[in-house]
Amino acid sequence: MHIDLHMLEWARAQFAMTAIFHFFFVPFTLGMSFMVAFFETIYVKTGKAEWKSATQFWQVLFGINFAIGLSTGIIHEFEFGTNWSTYSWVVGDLFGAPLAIEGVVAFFMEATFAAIAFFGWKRVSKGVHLTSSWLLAAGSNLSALWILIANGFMQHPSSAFYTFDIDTARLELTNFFNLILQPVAQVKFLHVVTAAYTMASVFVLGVSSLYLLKGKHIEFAKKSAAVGAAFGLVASIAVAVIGDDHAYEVANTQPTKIAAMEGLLVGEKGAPIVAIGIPNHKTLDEIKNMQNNDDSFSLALPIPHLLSILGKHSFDAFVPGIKDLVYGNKEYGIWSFDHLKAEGQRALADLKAYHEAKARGDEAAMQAANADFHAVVADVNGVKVQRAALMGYGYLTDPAKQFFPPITPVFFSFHLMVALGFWFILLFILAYASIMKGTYVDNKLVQKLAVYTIPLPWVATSFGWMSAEIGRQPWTVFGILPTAHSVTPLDLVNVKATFFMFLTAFIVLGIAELKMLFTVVKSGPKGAH
Amino acid sequence: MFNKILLFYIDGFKNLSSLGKKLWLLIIIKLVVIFVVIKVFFFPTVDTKVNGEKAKQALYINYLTKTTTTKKSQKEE
Repeated sequence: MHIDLHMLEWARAQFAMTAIFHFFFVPFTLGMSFMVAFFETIYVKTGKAEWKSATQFWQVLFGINFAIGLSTGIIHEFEFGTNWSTYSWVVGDLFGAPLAIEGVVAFFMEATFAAIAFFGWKRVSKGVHLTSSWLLAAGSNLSALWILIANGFMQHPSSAFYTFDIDTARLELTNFFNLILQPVAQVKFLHVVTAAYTMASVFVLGVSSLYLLKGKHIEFAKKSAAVGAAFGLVASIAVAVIGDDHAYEVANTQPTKIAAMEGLLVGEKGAPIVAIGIPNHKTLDEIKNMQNNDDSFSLALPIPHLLSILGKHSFDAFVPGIKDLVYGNKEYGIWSFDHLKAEGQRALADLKAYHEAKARGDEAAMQAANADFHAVVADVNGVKVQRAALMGYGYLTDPAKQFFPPITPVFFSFHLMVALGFWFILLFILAYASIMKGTYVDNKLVQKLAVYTIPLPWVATSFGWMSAEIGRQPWTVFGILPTAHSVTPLDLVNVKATFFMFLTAFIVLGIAELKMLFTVVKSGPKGAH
Repeated sequence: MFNKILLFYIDGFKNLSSLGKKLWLLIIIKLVVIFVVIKVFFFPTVDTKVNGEKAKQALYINYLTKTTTTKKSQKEE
C-alpha cells in the first residue's frame, strides 16, 4: 500500500491549523479564569464595589474567549478518526483514556461552575460564587493536564505504562498512574499553565495600561495593573524555571529534538547554548565530515557549557549532536540510525511473521515471533526497552529527511519563545517596580511597552508548540509510529475541502472574538454588565 | 432541588445581556456547523468504508507491515 504524501501534507496542515487556532483560546482561558478568581477573592475580602466591577469586567472578557473557543478542540477528534486513523488504531486505547477523562472533567466541571459564575451574581451567596469561580479555574486547568498527559505519551512513550499487543497491533495501557505521573507530561503541564498565567497577566496589564494612557477608568486601571503585574511577575519567572526542567526532560528523552533546538550538529562535552545565532544549512554528508561546530552557525553568540548544565545538570556532560545521533557514538553508547533501523525492521518482520503464522494456525511460530517482538534490546536508566518500542525506525529509509526534525524552524521557534519569555519577565519587573514606587500612572514608557506586548504571549505560545511538535518529527509517537505512517490508509479527498472550511470558520470566529473583545475594552468596566 | 437548578438556568438565560445572547447564538451556530454539517457530510471515517472490526484490523496490520512511501506526483510522472 502506498502513502500519498499529498494526503499526509494536507492532513498535517489541517491539524497544525486547528491546533494553532484552538491554542489561541486555551491559554487565555486557563490564565484568565485564575485572574478572575483573584479579582473576586479581593472583592469578597474587601467588600468594595470597585473590585466587583473589576471582576465582572475581566469575567466578560474571559467569557467571550471561553464561548468562542468552546469545542474548537473537538475538531481534533474528528481529524484523528478521518485523517489519522492508523494513529488512532495503534494508540487509541491508550491515548483515548486521558482524552475521555478530559472531556468528562471539562464538560461537568466547567459547564457547572461556568453557569454559576456567569448567572449566579445575584442568585447565590458571595462564598458560593467565589468557590465556583475557583472551581471553574481548577476545572479548566485540569482539562489541560489530561491533554498534556496524552501529549507527553506521544513525546516519550515508556514501557512503564504501556505494552504493544502484537495480536491487535495496538498499544495497551498497563499502568494508569505511571501514565499520569510521567515526568515529561508533568513538566509540560506546568510549563503550559504558567505560560497561560503569563498570557493573562500581560493582557490585564496591557489593557489597564491602555486606559491609563488614554486617561480613562484610572482607579480601575491602577488596581488591575497591580494585580496583573504581581501575578505576571510570579508566573513569568515560573515559566522560565519550569522551562528549564522541561528542557532537561527533552534533552534526556528526545535527543534529536534538543539537538535541533540548539542547532547542535556535532556532540560536545560542555556544550554551549547559542543565545543568538543563524544556523547554517548543512547536508548530512557535510555533517558527517564535521569535527566540531565551528561552521554550524553564520552568526553565533554562544554561552559556554550552558546546554550541558541545563540539559544534563553537569558542567562538562556530553550532549549528542545530529552527527552522533545519525552515525552513532560508541564512546557514549549512542546507537546509530542503521542500528535502530535494523531493530525496527526486525520488529516489523516479527509483526508480519506473527500474523502470517496466525493465518495458517501455527502456534509455535506465533509465540516465537511474539517473543522476539517483545525481547528487551536495551536498558536506559533502568527502563527496559523492548524491540517493539523501536518498530517505527523500521519504516525510515533516509536519515537526512526522516530521522531528525528540520533544524531551522525548530531552532528559531524555540529561541524566539525563550526571548519573548525573558521579555515578559523584564516587562513585569519594570511594571511592578513602578507600581510599588507609586509612579506607574505617569510611567508612559512602560505603559506603552505593556500595550505593545499584548499580542506577544500568543506568538510565544505558538512558537512553543511549534518547537515541541515540529521538534518531535518525524514521529507522532516517538520511536513507535512515524507521522508518515499515522495517516489514514485510504484516499480521503475531503481533507482538502475541510481544510478550507475550517480556515473560513476560524477566520470568522477570530474576527468575531476580536470585535467583541475590542467593543468590551472600548466600553470599559462600566459597560461590562 | 431539581426545580431550583432548572429555575436557576431559566432565570439566567432570561436575563442574559445582549453580549451574552450574541455569544450563545454564536455557540449554537458553531455547534451546528461542527457537529451536523462538517461531521456528518465531510468527515467519513474508515468505519464507513471498511465493514467490521476484523476487516479493520486486517487493513491496519496489512498497512503497518507493507507500507512504502511515494509521492503521488512522482508516481504520476
